Amino acid sequence: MAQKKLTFEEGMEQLEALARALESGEMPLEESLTAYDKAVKLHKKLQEMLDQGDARIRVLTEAGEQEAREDEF
Amino acid sequence: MLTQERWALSVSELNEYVRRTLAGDPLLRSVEVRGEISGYRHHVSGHRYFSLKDESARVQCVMFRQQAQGLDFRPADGMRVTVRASASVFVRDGTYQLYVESMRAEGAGDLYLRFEQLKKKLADEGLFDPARKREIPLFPRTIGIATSRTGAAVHDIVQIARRRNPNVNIVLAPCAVQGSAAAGEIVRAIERLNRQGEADVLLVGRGGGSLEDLFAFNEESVARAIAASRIPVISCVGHEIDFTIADFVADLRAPTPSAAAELAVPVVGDLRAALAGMALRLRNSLARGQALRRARLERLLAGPVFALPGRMLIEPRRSRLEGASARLAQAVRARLEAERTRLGMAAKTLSAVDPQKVIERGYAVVKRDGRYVTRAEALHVNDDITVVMSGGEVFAWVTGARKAQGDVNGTEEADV
Repeated sequence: MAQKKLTFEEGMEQLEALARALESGEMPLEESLTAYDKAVKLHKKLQEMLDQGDARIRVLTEAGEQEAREDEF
Repeated sequence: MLTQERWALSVSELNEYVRRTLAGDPLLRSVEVRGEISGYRHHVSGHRYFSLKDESARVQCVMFRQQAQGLDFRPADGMRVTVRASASVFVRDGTYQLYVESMRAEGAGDLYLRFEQLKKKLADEGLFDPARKREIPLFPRTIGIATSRTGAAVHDIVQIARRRNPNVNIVLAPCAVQGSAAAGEIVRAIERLNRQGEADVLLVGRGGGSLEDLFAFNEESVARAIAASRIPVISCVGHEIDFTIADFVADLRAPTPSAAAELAVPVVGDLRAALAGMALRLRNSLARGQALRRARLERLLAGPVFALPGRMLIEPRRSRLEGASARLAQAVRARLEAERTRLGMAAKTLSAVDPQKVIERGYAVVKRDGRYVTRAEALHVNDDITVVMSGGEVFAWVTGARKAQGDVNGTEEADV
């Protein structure tokens, strides 16, 4: 079951919705604790997303993929 | 005798000589020339500067403001025109150029016409429809670039992307961006990036140039490759004022490659700050929710739902209570009064039967051996008695007695 990868934007929207729901005080206590847990996990995931990336530049020529020279750009 | 030395002209003299030679030629004084406009510049002074060219040669042209006022169309690069001009030399610079007096369009310029026709065709197909434009992801992990490997465009994009997100991955698919081979190479670059599939957004474009330089981005094949791209495309061709067909098809147009990098890559510091703010908000959210729940409950209790029955229950009860306590107080007061009265009456009664009061009224009380004697038959002759009377006591002894006649109510005086 392939899930579409969560984008940062979608993640932020979900966090916003969770925060609003928790702030409203309209959830039963048990439900709000579960929601809070979910929010904490999601927050961590988004934080990891921001740190991702290896800062490489790859050049994709007709012949194939190669690394760019360090000073090329 | 002629020496080897030739008479040398000064530059001014040379240029002037050439000018006069040209001016002396009736054909060159007013000549019609046909060609394609290139490098057209409309100067602030109102003068127009451009080249006219054919397949193998070009000539510099100037049309001064006064003559340009007679234009009945807007000249542009690529347009085929015929000019009436005088060929001359600008003595100060030594430049040979055409001084254009009038210009007429020769149908439409080849390039320009092709541009307009293709634009209409693709617009009719709906390729420029705002509805089919995809959203550019807020935070791409990888950006793909289709442009020349050398040149300012890729350099600018990389610099700016790195500055905004030092960790961002970059994949470059190099391609020619001008010349006859460019269109095909751009198409294949876009396809390669889509096949590799890692990029979250593509930047397709090049730095500034003339209309011919940019023209690969007006080709139908490039437009269709952009439309077919699975990955969203930001176009960045030339400068602010240039609009190519690629710009119309792309999901987003940037005026320059630098601007494209800014649109594609958010400042990661800003995103971190937003996340931190969200963390704080979440931390407080449970407490806030609790406070809201409590407030809501209190409001409910104080609110109309409870107050109305309160008005119905509490109010009458209160007044009943108040009535009752008033009545209670009243009753207590009354009782107190009654008791006081009774006490008063009792006191009166008591005082009525107070022996001392009786004595003061004139009656006497008899005592014998310290005890009161109330019946005559209890006394014997010669008993010592004390007679308590108003004013004191009298000591006596009994000399005789006689029983009383009659009933209690009527008493006869008895002789003692």
